Amino acid sequence: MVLVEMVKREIMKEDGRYLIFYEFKEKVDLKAKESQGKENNSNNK
Amino acid sequence: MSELRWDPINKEWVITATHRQERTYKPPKDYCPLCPTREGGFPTEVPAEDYDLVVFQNRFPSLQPIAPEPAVPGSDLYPVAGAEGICEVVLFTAKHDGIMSKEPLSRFIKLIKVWKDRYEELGAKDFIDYVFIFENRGEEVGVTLQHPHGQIYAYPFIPPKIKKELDSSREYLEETGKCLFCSVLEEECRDGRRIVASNDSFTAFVPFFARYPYEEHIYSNEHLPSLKVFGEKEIEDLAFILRTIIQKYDNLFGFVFPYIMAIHQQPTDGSGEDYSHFHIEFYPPYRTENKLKYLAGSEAGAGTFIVDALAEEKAAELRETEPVTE
Repeated sequence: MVLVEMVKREIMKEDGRYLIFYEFKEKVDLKAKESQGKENNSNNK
Repeated sequence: MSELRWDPINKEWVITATHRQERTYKPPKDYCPLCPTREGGFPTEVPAEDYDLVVFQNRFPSLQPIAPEPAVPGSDLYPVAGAEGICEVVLFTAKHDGIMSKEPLSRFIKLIKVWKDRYEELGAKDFIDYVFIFENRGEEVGVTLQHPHGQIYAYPFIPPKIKKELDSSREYLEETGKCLFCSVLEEECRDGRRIVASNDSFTAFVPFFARYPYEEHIYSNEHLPSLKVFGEKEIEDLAFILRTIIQKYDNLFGFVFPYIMAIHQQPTDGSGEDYSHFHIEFYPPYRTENKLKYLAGSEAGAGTFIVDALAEEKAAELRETEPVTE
């Protein structure tokens, strides 16, 4: 399972509208990956 | 000018937003307002040389946090109100020519996390009753900016199509003690012919009552009212099935398949936890590889859809279409 940590950075534009940058840090959950490898996980019929 | 005008015949609000006539219309690629602002280039909506995902307030909003005074006075028969609310644009990627079906699973996970964040933040505002997340994809459904993006309308009321489905679900709950959407999903799974894809948390199907030949709905398998209650598992499973469905659409006829995508979930006015059921609806306009379905007399004038296709056959087509890229 890829876990994605979300960071928000909000700025205000000149006309008063907000804009939010969403930035993400990806990290691999090794425990889940190990257990996933043992299962035959079919996600699509 | 922007205001709400009450239609007493259909008992629903209509939004007038005359300033939207001025919105950017099919600009050339070099002048896309949704691309990052390149060095030496013209200033776009995003003052950065690159970005991952971005949300900003629509420059041409139908609803505004501080609504202007209505342009006309109302009456007892025709009430008017300020068009209060929030309209946001969600940029899926910085790549102007990006195609979501070719993006990795992680981009979908990120997008769903952004949707969840916006649902929670906008829904927490006391003047917002419904957070509607949607995507218009393709010129065939009226897209004027090619850059991959979606929108969010945070309404001060529950929109009529959603209110109607929630009213049905509430009545069904009162009569049977069960969620209507849970029962629809049970029925679809029991029949099986219209199922397109599924995983631990979600099922995608062409509904029995599909109004468009390639209409698909994605339901949460459990009774989950909204994105707010999604954990990592549900987010990842939704990302997977969403990407699968879009890949199948794009592979069906070998071109980027246009559609309207609508996310239906619990209102944010505090109602409906028992009878709201998170789901996504896709309305693609194509009825064959080169023919569009138009909303004509019966659909637009009478509200009754006529579909020249069998949901069971269209589901089989979609099921057999591989969800692969390249």
